[in-house]
Amino acid sequence: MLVVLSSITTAERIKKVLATENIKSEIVQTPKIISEGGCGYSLRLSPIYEENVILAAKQLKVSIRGIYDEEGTKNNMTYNKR
Amino acid sequence: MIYLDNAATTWQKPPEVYDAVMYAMKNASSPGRGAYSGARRASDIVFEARERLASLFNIDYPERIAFTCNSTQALNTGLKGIAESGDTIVISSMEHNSVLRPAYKMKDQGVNLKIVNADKNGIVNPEEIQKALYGGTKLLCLNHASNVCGSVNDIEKIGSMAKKMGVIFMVDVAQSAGTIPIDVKKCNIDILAFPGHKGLLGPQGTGGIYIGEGITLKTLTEGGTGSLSESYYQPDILPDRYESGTLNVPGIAGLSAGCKFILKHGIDSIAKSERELTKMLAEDLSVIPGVKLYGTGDYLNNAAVLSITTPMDCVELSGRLNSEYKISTRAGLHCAPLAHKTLGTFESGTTRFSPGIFNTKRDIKQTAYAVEKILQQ
Repeated sequence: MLVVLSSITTAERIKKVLATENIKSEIVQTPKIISEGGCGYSLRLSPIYEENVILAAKQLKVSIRGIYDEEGTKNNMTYNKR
Repeated sequence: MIYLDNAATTWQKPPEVYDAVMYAMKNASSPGRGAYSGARRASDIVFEARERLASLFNIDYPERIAFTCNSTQALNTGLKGIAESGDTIVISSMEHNSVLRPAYKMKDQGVNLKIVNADKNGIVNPEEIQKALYGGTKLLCLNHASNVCGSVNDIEKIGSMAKKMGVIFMVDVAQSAGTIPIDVKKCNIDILAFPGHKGLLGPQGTGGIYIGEGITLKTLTEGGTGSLSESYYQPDILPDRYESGTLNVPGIAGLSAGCKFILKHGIDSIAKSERELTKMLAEDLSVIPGVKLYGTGDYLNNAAVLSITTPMDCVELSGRLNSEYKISTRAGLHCAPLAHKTLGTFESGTTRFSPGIFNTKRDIKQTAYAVEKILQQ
């Protein structure tokens, strides 16, 4: 699952909150096709943590630009908005 | 060499500050400009620095801290980002030129500028501030501690007053950040401008601004932020809105290490050490014939800054301390002409001594001895 965020700082903040709940996430650059406004960062993590991410964003008063399921292979990835 | 110009820059830094700068130079590239290891490392360094600063100032949202080149840039960002022609801003007579000069430029552009005079010891009376705030003031900008005489303003009381009156409260903590506890919530501070290279023990070329919730500043610079790049306009997200262009990652790494050092040792213990040295110096200098000290005399509560005049020209005294005893001090007006007018030292200037955490009692004794010997000749 990719959680699209507006900045690297937002990504760092949410990643840290998730880490306190022992949830592993990875900061990646948002794929251009779903970047909704250009360069940005996303968190990649297991879909089972969707609610945790939403709660963390609310707690930090930051917005999530979109949540996507990643499907396909590394060379042919598609992104479906949740 | 005895370095007593820590009010300008803390030259001696903890070893980990130098190491952090070098590490960043070698291992980090551009923060927020990619997801490869060098860029991620740079982002992590910057993020950690933001968190440490937030911890030092009791800030809930680290993203509300934007890095700048120094305190001057932070103060310009706050002043010019808030006030427009027709607005009223209030400052004190103890402000540094980093506030005074932008304020006067804004005055020329139609901003109403009110200056509240401090007393002869450099203290701004909160009641005088309150009087000045009546009548629709937009912004109150004050320093926490004087860079000339070390006097400390009661920012908790003044902040409470400003909040009740609906005035945005900006504080210049150039002389107190890292050496006197600062709590933005307790003091109702809306905007905080801080340097990285003084009490926070970072390298020159670092500083920052905290912008409280509900405050949006006009930007002084616009440009690449690594975010929302399709837009031709500056993004609103923080801290990106106020951080255009690549940040000074090695500098911020050093600043972060300085903050870590302070958090580890505690501001209270740093303050105690510096204040005791300043008090000792004041006591030793005060018994030297011809030496006059300025400020409240409450050295255990002031910032570690001491100004004196003597029968000798202040520049001559500072020069001889350097050339004959290798003691570094700062002479003149310290970029604060109104403060010197307030203290009555505008014509003479002063010789300023500002101990830091790496000074020793021996440094202080040698300095007092040197001043006495020079004045005896």
